[in-house]
Amino acid sequence: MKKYILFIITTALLFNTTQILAQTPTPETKDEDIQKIRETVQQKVSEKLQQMENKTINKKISIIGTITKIEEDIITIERKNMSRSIKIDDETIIVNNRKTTIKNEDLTTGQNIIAMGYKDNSQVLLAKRIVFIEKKDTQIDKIVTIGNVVDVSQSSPVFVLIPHKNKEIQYQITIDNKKTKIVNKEKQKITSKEIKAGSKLIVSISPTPENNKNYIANYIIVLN
Amino acid sequence: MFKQIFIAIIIGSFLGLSLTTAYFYSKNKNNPSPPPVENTTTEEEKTEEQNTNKQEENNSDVQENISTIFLDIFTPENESIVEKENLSISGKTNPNNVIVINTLNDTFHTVSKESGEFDIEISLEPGINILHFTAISSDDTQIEKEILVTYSTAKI
Repeated sequence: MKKYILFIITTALLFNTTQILAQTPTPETKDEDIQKIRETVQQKVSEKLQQMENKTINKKISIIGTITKIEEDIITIERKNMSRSIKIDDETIIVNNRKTTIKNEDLTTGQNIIAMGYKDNSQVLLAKRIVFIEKKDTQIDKIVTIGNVVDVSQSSPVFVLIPHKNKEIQYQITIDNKKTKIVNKEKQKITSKEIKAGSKLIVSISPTPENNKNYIANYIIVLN
Repeated sequence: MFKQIFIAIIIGSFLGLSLTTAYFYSKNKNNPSPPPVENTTTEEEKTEEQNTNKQEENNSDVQENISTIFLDIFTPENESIVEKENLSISGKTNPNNVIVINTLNDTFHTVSKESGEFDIEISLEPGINILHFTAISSDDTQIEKEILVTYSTAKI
Protein backbone atom coordinates (compact mmCIF):
# COMPACT_ATOMS: atom_id res chain seq x y z
CA MET A 1 0.00 0.00 0.00
CA LYS A 2 2.86 2.36 0.87
CA LYS A 3 4.44 1.65 -2.51
CA TYR A 4 1.11 2.36 -4.14
CA ILE A 5 0.73 5.81 -2.46
CA LEU A 6 4.36 6.69 -3.18
CA PHE A 7 3.85 5.86 -6.84
CA ILE A 8 0.73 8.06 -7.03
CA ILE A 9 2.57 10.98 -5.44
CA THR A 10 5.55 10.54 -7.81
CA THR A 11 3.28 10.48 -10.86
CA ALA A 12 1.31 13.48 -9.60
CA LEU A 13 4.53 15.42 -9.13
CA LEU A 14 5.73 14.43 -12.60
CA PHE A 15 2.55 15.75 -14.21
CA ASN A 16 2.50 18.90 -12.13
CA THR A 17 3.98 21.82 -14.06
CA THR A 18 6.33 23.71 -11.85
CA GLN A 19 8.13 26.95 -12.48
CA ILE A 20 11.76 26.39 -13.29
CA LEU A 21 13.88 29.16 -11.95
CA ALA A 22 16.90 29.82 -14.10
CA GLN A 23 20.11 30.58 -12.36
CA THR A 24 20.43 34.33 -12.16
CA PRO A 25 23.79 35.71 -13.24
CA THR A 26 25.88 37.08 -10.47
CA PRO A 27 25.19 40.85 -10.55
CA GLU A 28 28.63 41.73 -9.30
CA THR A 29 30.38 40.33 -12.40
CA LYS A 30 27.93 42.15 -14.70
CA ASP A 31 28.32 45.47 -12.89
CA GLU A 32 32.08 45.23 -13.05
CA ASP A 33 31.96 44.66 -16.82
CA ILE A 34 29.57 47.57 -17.35
CA GLN A 35 31.76 49.80 -15.21
CA LYS A 36 34.83 48.83 -17.24
CA ILE A 37 33.04 49.57 -20.53
CA ARG A 38 31.80 52.91 -19.15
CA GLU A 39 35.27 53.92 -18.08
CA THR A 40 36.78 53.00 -21.45
CA VAL A 41 34.08 54.90 -23.36
CA GLN A 42 34.44 57.94 -21.08
CA GLN A 43 38.20 57.92 -21.58
CA LYS A 44 37.88 57.70 -25.38
CA VAL A 45 35.24 60.45 -25.50
CA SER A 46 37.29 62.80 -23.32
CA GLU A 47 40.38 62.15 -25.48
CA LYS A 48 38.41 62.99 -28.64
CA LEU A 49 36.90 66.09 -27.05
CA GLN A 50 40.34 67.26 -25.97
CA GLN A 51 41.65 66.72 -29.50
CA MET A 52 38.74 68.67 -30.97
CA GLU A 53 39.14 71.45 -28.42
CA ASN A 54 42.84 71.80 -29.16
CA LYS A 55 42.12 71.84 -32.87
CA THR A 56 39.51 74.61 -32.39
CA ILE A 57 41.69 76.64 -30.09
CA ASN A 58 44.68 76.55 -32.41
CA LYS A 59 42.70 77.54 -35.47
CA LYS A 60 42.93 81.09 -36.76
CA ILE A 61 39.57 82.73 -37.18
CA SER A 62 38.22 86.11 -38.15
CA ILE A 63 35.03 87.86 -37.16
CA ILE A 64 33.48 91.10 -38.35
CA GLY A 65 31.05 93.56 -36.87
CA THR A 66 30.40 96.99 -35.42
CA ILE A 67 31.89 97.86 -32.04
CA THR A 68 29.04 98.35 -29.54
CA LYS A 69 30.91 98.28 -26.23
CA ILE A 70 34.49 98.74 -25.02
CA GLU A 71 35.42 97.53 -21.54
CA GLU A 72 39.14 97.52 -20.62
CA ASP A 73 40.42 94.51 -22.51
CA ILE A 74 37.10 93.23 -23.87
CA ILE A 75 35.30 94.76 -26.80
CA THR A 76 31.89 93.69 -28.02
CA ILE A 77 30.95 93.73 -31.66
CA GLU A 78 27.59 93.10 -33.28
CA ARG A 79 26.54 91.87 -36.69
CA LYS A 80 23.12 90.69 -37.81
CA ASN A 81 21.77 91.01 -34.24
CA MET A 82 24.49 88.73 -32.88
CA SER A 83 26.99 89.95 -30.30
CA ARG A 84 30.54 88.62 -30.03
CA SER A 85 33.29 89.33 -27.51
CA ILE A 86 36.87 90.06 -28.42
CA LYS A 87 39.75 90.15 -25.99
CA ILE A 88 42.57 92.53 -26.72
CA ASP A 89 45.96 93.02 -25.08
CA ASP A 90 49.13 95.04 -25.58
CA GLU A 91 50.24 92.72 -28.36
CA THR A 92 47.09 93.24 -30.42
CA ILE A 93 47.88 95.18 -33.59
CA ILE A 94 45.15 97.62 -34.57
CA VAL A 95 45.17 99.10 -38.06
CA ASN A 96 42.89 102.00 -38.99
CA ASN A 97 41.39 103.07 -42.35
CA ARG A 98 44.63 104.86 -43.29
CA LYS A 99 46.50 101.60 -42.74
CA THR A 100 48.43 103.04 -39.82
CA THR A 101 48.79 101.28 -36.49
CA ILE A 102 46.83 102.83 -33.63
CA LYS A 103 46.59 102.24 -29.88
CA ASN A 104 43.90 100.19 -28.14
CA GLU A 105 42.54 103.37 -26.58
CA ASP A 106 41.78 104.79 -30.02
CA LEU A 107 39.06 102.22 -30.64
CA THR A 108 35.59 103.75 -30.61
CA THR A 109 32.07 102.40 -30.66
CA GLY A 110 30.36 102.44 -34.03
CA GLN A 111 33.56 101.46 -35.82
CA ASN A 112 33.33 98.47 -38.18
CA ILE A 113 36.19 96.07 -37.72
CA ILE A 114 37.54 92.69 -38.61
CA ALA A 115 39.27 90.91 -35.74
CA MET A 116 41.66 88.04 -36.39
CA GLY A 117 43.07 85.70 -33.79
CA TYR A 118 42.38 82.53 -31.84
CA LYS A 119 39.45 81.38 -29.74
CA ASP A 120 39.97 80.58 -26.05
CA ASN A 121 38.12 77.91 -24.07
CA SER A 122 35.21 80.25 -23.42
CA GLN A 123 34.84 80.92 -27.15
CA VAL A 124 36.15 84.49 -26.79
CA LEU A 125 38.38 85.62 -29.62
CA LEU A 126 41.88 86.55 -28.50
CA ALA A 127 42.54 89.21 -31.12
CA LYS A 128 46.03 89.40 -32.60
CA ARG A 129 45.09 91.85 -35.32
CA ILE A 130 42.17 94.24 -35.72
CA VAL A 131 41.62 96.14 -38.96
CA PHE A 132 39.09 98.90 -39.60
CA ILE A 133 36.72 98.14 -42.44
CA GLU A 134 33.93 99.83 -44.36
CA LYS A 135 30.42 98.56 -43.70
CA LYS A 136 29.75 98.32 -47.44
CA ASP A 137 32.43 95.63 -47.65
CA THR A 138 30.37 93.39 -45.39
CA GLN A 139 27.07 93.68 -47.24
CA ILE A 140 26.23 91.95 -50.49
CA ASP A 141 23.23 93.64 -52.07
CA LYS A 142 22.95 91.12 -54.91
CA ILE A 143 19.70 89.25 -55.48
CA VAL A 144 19.69 85.78 -56.97
CA THR A 145 16.46 84.58 -58.50
CA ILE A 146 15.07 82.21 -61.09
CA GLY A 147 12.39 83.34 -63.49
CA ASN A 148 11.15 83.77 -67.01
CA VAL A 149 11.78 86.63 -69.41
CA VAL A 150 8.51 88.30 -70.37
CA ASP A 151 9.84 91.12 -72.51
CA VAL A 152 13.07 92.04 -74.25
CA SER A 153 13.74 95.60 -75.39
CA GLN A 154 14.65 95.96 -79.05
CA SER A 155 16.29 99.35 -78.58
CA SER A 156 18.35 98.82 -75.41
CA PRO A 157 20.01 95.91 -73.58
CA VAL A 158 17.10 95.64 -71.12
CA PHE A 159 14.72 92.80 -70.39
CA VAL A 160 11.94 92.15 -67.91
CA LEU A 161 11.96 89.06 -65.74
CA ILE A 162 9.21 87.67 -63.52
CA PRO A 163 10.63 85.55 -60.69
CA HIS A 164 8.97 82.19 -60.10
CA LYS A 165 8.75 82.68 -56.36
CA ASN A 166 6.71 85.89 -56.63
CA LYS A 167 4.87 86.44 -59.88
CA GLU A 168 3.64 89.85 -58.78
CA ILE A 169 7.16 91.29 -59.03
CA GLN A 170 8.83 92.36 -62.25
CA TYR A 171 12.53 93.04 -62.45
CA GLN A 172 13.66 95.42 -65.17
CA ILE A 173 17.21 94.28 -65.78
CA THR A 174 19.93 95.99 -67.75
CA ILE A 175 22.79 94.05 -69.30
CA ASP A 176 26.14 95.80 -69.04
CA ASN A 177 28.20 94.48 -71.92
CA LYS A 178 31.41 95.06 -69.98
CA LYS A 179 30.35 93.73 -66.59
CA THR A 180 27.55 91.21 -67.10
CA LYS A 181 28.60 87.61 -67.58
CA ILE A 182 26.14 85.50 -69.58
CA VAL A 183 26.63 81.74 -69.49
CA ASN A 184 24.66 78.56 -69.98
CA LYS A 185 24.27 75.88 -67.29
CA GLU A 186 27.55 74.29 -68.45
CA LYS A 187 29.37 77.61 -67.82
CA GLN A 188 29.95 78.28 -71.53
CA LYS A 189 29.86 81.97 -72.41
CA ILE A 190 26.95 83.01 -74.58
CA THR A 191 25.72 86.33 -75.92
CA SER A 192 22.73 88.40 -74.86
CA LYS A 193 21.02 87.37 -78.12
CA GLU A 194 20.22 84.05 -76.43
CA ILE A 195 17.92 85.88 -74.02
CA LYS A 196 14.46 85.90 -75.55
CA ALA A 197 10.92 86.27 -74.30
CA GLY A 198 10.10 83.01 -72.54
CA SER A 199 13.74 82.19 -71.66
CA LYS A 200 14.23 80.67 -68.23
CA LEU A 201 17.08 82.38 -66.41
CA ILE A 202 18.88 82.43 -63.11
CA VAL A 203 20.09 85.97 -62.52
CA SER A 204 22.32 87.68 -60.03
CA ILE A 205 21.26 91.34 -60.03
CA SER A 206 22.00 94.50 -58.07
CA PRO A 207 19.78 97.56 -57.72
CA THR A 208 21.05 100.53 -59.68
CA PRO A 209 22.06 103.48 -57.50
CA GLU A 210 19.85 105.84 -59.50
CA ASN A 211 16.63 103.84 -59.40
CA ASN A 212 15.80 101.05 -57.01
CA LYS A 213 13.30 99.55 -59.43
CA ASN A 214 15.92 98.97 -62.10
CA TYR A 215 18.57 96.36 -61.72
CA ILE A 216 21.91 95.72 -63.31
CA ALA A 217 22.76 92.13 -64.17
CA ASN A 218 25.98 90.77 -62.70
CA TYR A 219 25.59 87.20 -63.88
CA ILE A 220 23.00 85.45 -66.04
CA ILE A 221 22.62 81.71 -66.44
CA VAL A 222 20.43 80.86 -69.41
CA LEU A 223 18.68 77.57 -68.68
CA ASN A 224 16.74 77.26 -71.97
CA MET B 1 0.24 -5.88 -9.88
CA PHE B 2 0.10 -4.32 -13.39
CA LYS B 3 -3.48 -3.32 -12.76
CA GLN B 4 -2.46 -1.48 -9.60
CA ILE B 5 0.38 0.34 -11.36
CA PHE B 6 -1.94 1.35 -14.17
CA ILE B 7 -4.52 2.73 -11.71
CA ALA B 8 -1.76 4.52 -9.80
CA ILE B 9 -0.56 6.18 -13.06
CA ILE B 10 -4.10 7.29 -13.94
CA ILE B 11 -4.76 8.73 -10.46
CA GLY B 12 -1.31 10.39 -10.37
CA SER B 13 -1.84 11.96 -13.82
CA PHE B 14 -5.28 13.20 -12.82
CA LEU B 15 -3.98 14.72 -9.64
CA GLY B 16 -1.01 16.36 -11.39
CA LEU B 17 -3.15 17.86 -14.19
CA SER B 18 -5.76 19.03 -11.67
CA LEU B 19 -3.11 20.81 -9.61
CA THR B 20 -1.66 22.48 -12.74
CA THR B 21 -5.10 23.59 -13.93
CA ALA B 22 -5.94 24.93 -10.50
CA TYR B 23 -2.63 26.81 -10.36
CA PHE B 24 -3.09 28.52 -13.76
CA TYR B 25 -6.74 29.26 -13.04
CA SER B 26 -5.91 31.02 -9.80
CA LYS B 27 -3.04 32.89 -11.48
CA ASN B 28 -5.29 34.19 -14.30
CA LYS B 29 -7.94 35.17 -11.82
CA ASN B 30 -5.45 37.39 -9.98
CA ASN B 31 -4.24 39.11 -13.22
CA PRO B 32 -7.27 39.38 -15.44
CA SER B 33 -6.56 40.51 -19.03
CA PRO B 34 -8.12 43.84 -19.98
CA PRO B 35 -11.46 43.51 -21.67
CA PRO B 36 -11.45 44.22 -25.39
CA VAL B 37 -12.28 47.86 -26.17
CA GLU B 38 -15.40 48.21 -28.12
CA ASN B 39 -15.25 50.44 -31.18
CA THR B 40 -17.84 53.03 -30.26
CA THR B 41 -16.92 55.73 -32.82
CA THR B 42 -19.85 57.08 -34.72
CA GLU B 43 -19.91 57.73 -38.46
CA GLU B 44 -19.43 61.47 -37.83
CA GLU B 45 -16.39 60.82 -35.69
CA LYS B 46 -15.01 58.53 -38.36
CA THR B 47 -15.40 61.22 -41.03
CA GLU B 48 -13.74 63.77 -38.75
CA GLU B 49 -10.89 61.37 -38.12
CA GLN B 50 -10.45 60.80 -41.86
CA ASN B 51 -10.41 64.56 -42.51
CA THR B 52 -7.82 65.07 -39.78
CA ASN B 53 -5.68 62.32 -41.27
CA LYS B 54 -5.96 63.91 -44.71
CA GLN B 55 -4.99 67.31 -43.26
CA GLU B 56 -2.02 65.77 -41.51
CA GLU B 57 -0.97 64.13 -44.77
CA ASN B 58 -1.26 67.45 -46.63
CA ASN B 59 0.71 69.24 -43.90
CA SER B 60 3.44 66.65 -44.04
CA ASP B 61 3.58 67.10 -47.84
CA VAL B 62 4.07 70.84 -47.41
CA GLN B 63 6.69 70.28 -44.73
CA GLU B 64 8.43 67.82 -47.04
CA ASN B 65 8.48 70.38 -49.83
CA ILE B 66 9.80 73.07 -47.52
CA SER B 67 12.50 70.90 -46.07
CA THR B 68 13.45 69.15 -49.32
CA ILE B 69 16.15 71.57 -50.37
CA PHE B 70 19.32 71.69 -48.31
CA LEU B 71 22.78 73.18 -48.64
CA ASP B 72 25.85 72.17 -46.64
CA ILE B 73 29.21 73.85 -47.11
CA PHE B 74 32.06 71.51 -46.13
CA THR B 75 35.00 73.76 -46.96
CA PRO B 76 35.94 76.47 -46.22
CA GLU B 77 34.70 76.84 -42.67
CA ASN B 78 32.84 79.98 -41.74
CA GLU B 79 35.16 82.70 -40.31
CA SER B 80 38.28 80.91 -41.49
CA ILE B 81 41.46 82.71 -42.53
CA VAL B 82 43.26 81.53 -45.65
CA GLU B 83 46.62 82.53 -47.04
CA LYS B 84 46.02 81.74 -50.71
CA GLU B 85 44.09 83.70 -53.30
CA ASN B 86 42.48 80.63 -54.82
CA LEU B 87 39.90 78.92 -52.69
CA SER B 88 38.37 75.48 -53.17
CA ILE B 89 34.78 75.29 -52.10
CA SER B 90 33.05 71.96 -51.56
CA GLY B 91 29.65 71.05 -50.28
CA LYS B 92 26.51 69.06 -50.75
CA THR B 93 23.00 69.86 -51.83
CA ASN B 94 20.27 68.10 -53.80
CA PRO B 95 21.29 66.46 -57.10
CA ASN B 96 21.57 68.76 -60.14
CA ASN B 97 21.00 71.94 -58.17
CA VAL B 98 22.51 75.16 -59.52
CA ILE B 99 24.69 76.81 -56.91
CA VAL B 100 25.40 80.53 -57.37
CA ILE B 101 28.15 82.07 -55.28
CA ASN B 102 28.17 85.82 -54.98
CA THR B 103 31.11 87.75 -53.59
CA LEU B 104 31.29 91.51 -53.32
CA ASN B 105 32.80 91.90 -56.79
CA ASP B 106 32.18 88.63 -58.57
CA THR B 107 29.72 85.80 -59.20
CA PHE B 108 30.39 82.11 -59.84
CA HIS B 109 28.20 79.11 -60.44
CA THR B 110 28.36 75.34 -60.48
CA VAL B 111 25.95 72.41 -60.71
CA SER B 112 25.83 69.61 -58.15
CA LYS B 113 26.45 66.02 -59.23
CA GLU B 114 23.96 63.16 -59.02
CA SER B 115 25.32 62.52 -55.52
CA GLY B 116 24.52 66.13 -54.62
CA GLU B 117 28.17 66.96 -54.03
CA PHE B 118 29.74 69.98 -55.67
CA ASP B 119 33.08 71.73 -55.76
CA ILE B 120 34.31 74.91 -57.34
CA GLU B 121 37.42 77.02 -57.20
CA ILE B 122 37.07 80.77 -56.87
CA SER B 123 39.52 83.63 -56.46
CA LEU B 124 39.39 85.80 -53.35
CA GLU B 125 39.89 89.49 -52.80
CA PRO B 126 42.47 90.50 -50.20
CA GLY B 127 40.82 90.89 -46.79
CA ILE B 128 37.15 90.19 -46.15
CA ASN B 129 35.28 87.88 -48.48
CA ILE B 130 31.61 87.37 -47.80
CA LEU B 131 30.53 84.32 -49.79
CA HIS B 132 26.80 84.29 -50.41
CA PHE B 133 25.55 80.91 -51.62
CA THR B 134 22.22 80.34 -53.34
CA ALA B 135 21.22 76.81 -54.33
CA ILE B 136 18.32 76.48 -56.76
CA SER B 137 16.64 73.13 -57.23
CA SER B 138 14.93 71.75 -60.33
CA ASP B 139 11.52 72.75 -58.89
CA ASP B 140 12.81 76.35 -58.54
CA THR B 141 12.99 76.39 -54.75
CA GLN B 142 15.92 78.29 -53.30
CA ILE B 143 18.07 78.13 -50.20
CA GLU B 144 20.72 80.64 -49.15
CA LYS B 145 23.77 80.57 -46.91
CA GLU B 146 26.52 83.02 -46.16
CA ILE B 147 30.02 82.47 -44.86
CA LEU B 148 32.96 84.72 -44.12
CA VAL B 149 36.44 83.91 -45.38
CA THR B 150 39.38 86.23 -44.81
CA TYR B 151 42.27 86.18 -47.22
CA SER B 152 45.24 87.49 -45.29
CA THR B 153 48.94 86.78 -45.28
CA ALA B 154 49.54 88.95 -42.23
CA LYS B 155 51.28 87.23 -39.31
CA ILE B 156 48.70 86.35 -36.69
